[in-house]
Amino acid sequence: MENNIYALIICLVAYAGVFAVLGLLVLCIKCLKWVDLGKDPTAK
Amino acid sequence: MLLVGFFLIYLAIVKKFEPLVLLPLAFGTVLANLPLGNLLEEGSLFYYLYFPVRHEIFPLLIFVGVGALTDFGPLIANPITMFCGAAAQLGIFVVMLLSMAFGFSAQEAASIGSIGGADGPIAVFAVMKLAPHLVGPVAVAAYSYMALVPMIQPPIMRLLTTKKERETVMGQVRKVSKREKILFPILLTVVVGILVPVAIPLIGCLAVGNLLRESGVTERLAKMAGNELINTVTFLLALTVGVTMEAESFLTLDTVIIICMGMLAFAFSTAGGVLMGKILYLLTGGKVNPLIGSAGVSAVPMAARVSHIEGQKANPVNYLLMHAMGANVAGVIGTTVAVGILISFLT
Repeated sequence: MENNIYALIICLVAYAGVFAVLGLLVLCIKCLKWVDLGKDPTAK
Repeated sequence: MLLVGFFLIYLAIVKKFEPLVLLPLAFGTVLANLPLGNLLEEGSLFYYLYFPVRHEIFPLLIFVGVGALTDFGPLIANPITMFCGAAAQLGIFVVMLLSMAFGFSAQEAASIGSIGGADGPIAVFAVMKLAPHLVGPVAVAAYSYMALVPMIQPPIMRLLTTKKERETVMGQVRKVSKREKILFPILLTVVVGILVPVAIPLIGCLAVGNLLRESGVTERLAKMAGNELINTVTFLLALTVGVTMEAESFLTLDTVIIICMGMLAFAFSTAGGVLMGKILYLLTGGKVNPLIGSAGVSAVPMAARVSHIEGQKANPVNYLLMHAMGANVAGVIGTTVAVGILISFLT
């Protein structure tokens, strides 16, 4: 029983963790757009 | 067990179930179960080939190739699809809990759950870290179900969405600059590496492969990673995993349970992605088609194609492929993070 509760907590925390990490990446990608404010030196 | 090997060869050749993986794996199974053949004895070819499998080297090298073949542009253009990639990891956790209810240890249960990520190399990476004795059934389930995505996903997608939702037309994806594409893998490595250190090898290999592709200065290396490297390593990995599938370890009730759990994991992951798609549909006032959510399982690009086809069935002017590709590559990142977190908890 204790093991199952422990597993449930691990699953909930891990699933929330996936959302947190990927959510942070969403913010980072939004910030990536700023690098396009200037001229892209690699653009032809 | 020879019959299982022959059946897998049949599935690979006749039914075309992921033949690039399943055929060498099936042939390895036949080799391993011929009488008097001790393929894994010390000093033999397969003894040495098993070393990079056992130490997770092959899955990582495959990830370099996956990175070289992946275009993160659709994800960068529409970052909100990242949440579909997160939600579609639901199957990993649900099946982990179910597997524990069937008596598997937490490590074994997490390995079985990883099938729900729909990413073969990650499933092999997870199982070798957590429960190496299950590598055979987990690899067979992971790769077989990836081939079954077009059959498993559509009924779940239709069940969880209304016709009106499926008809939603999404706008064109914005153009992503080369500079953004170059910076993304670097950013990805730093963010995931700091937050989930266990996932650094996986995410690092994915990112370096992608950087080879996007940098524009290492074209030869990108081609090598996306062709020769990934093909050679996938072949060796599949053949070697097949050789480990001996009757006494494979023909067990546990294998049957793992195969069934794998199917459930896929189904729950699909449902998780579609439900997130529905949430995004509501939050954006009907601008996101929930069908792209199911592409959050990693099976690239098959899951994205399924979303696109289902969208076109509902509304022929619908063109969801690029949006679904965003969710699809987010799924690869999501699975990596999910497995990384589980490994760090359980080892």
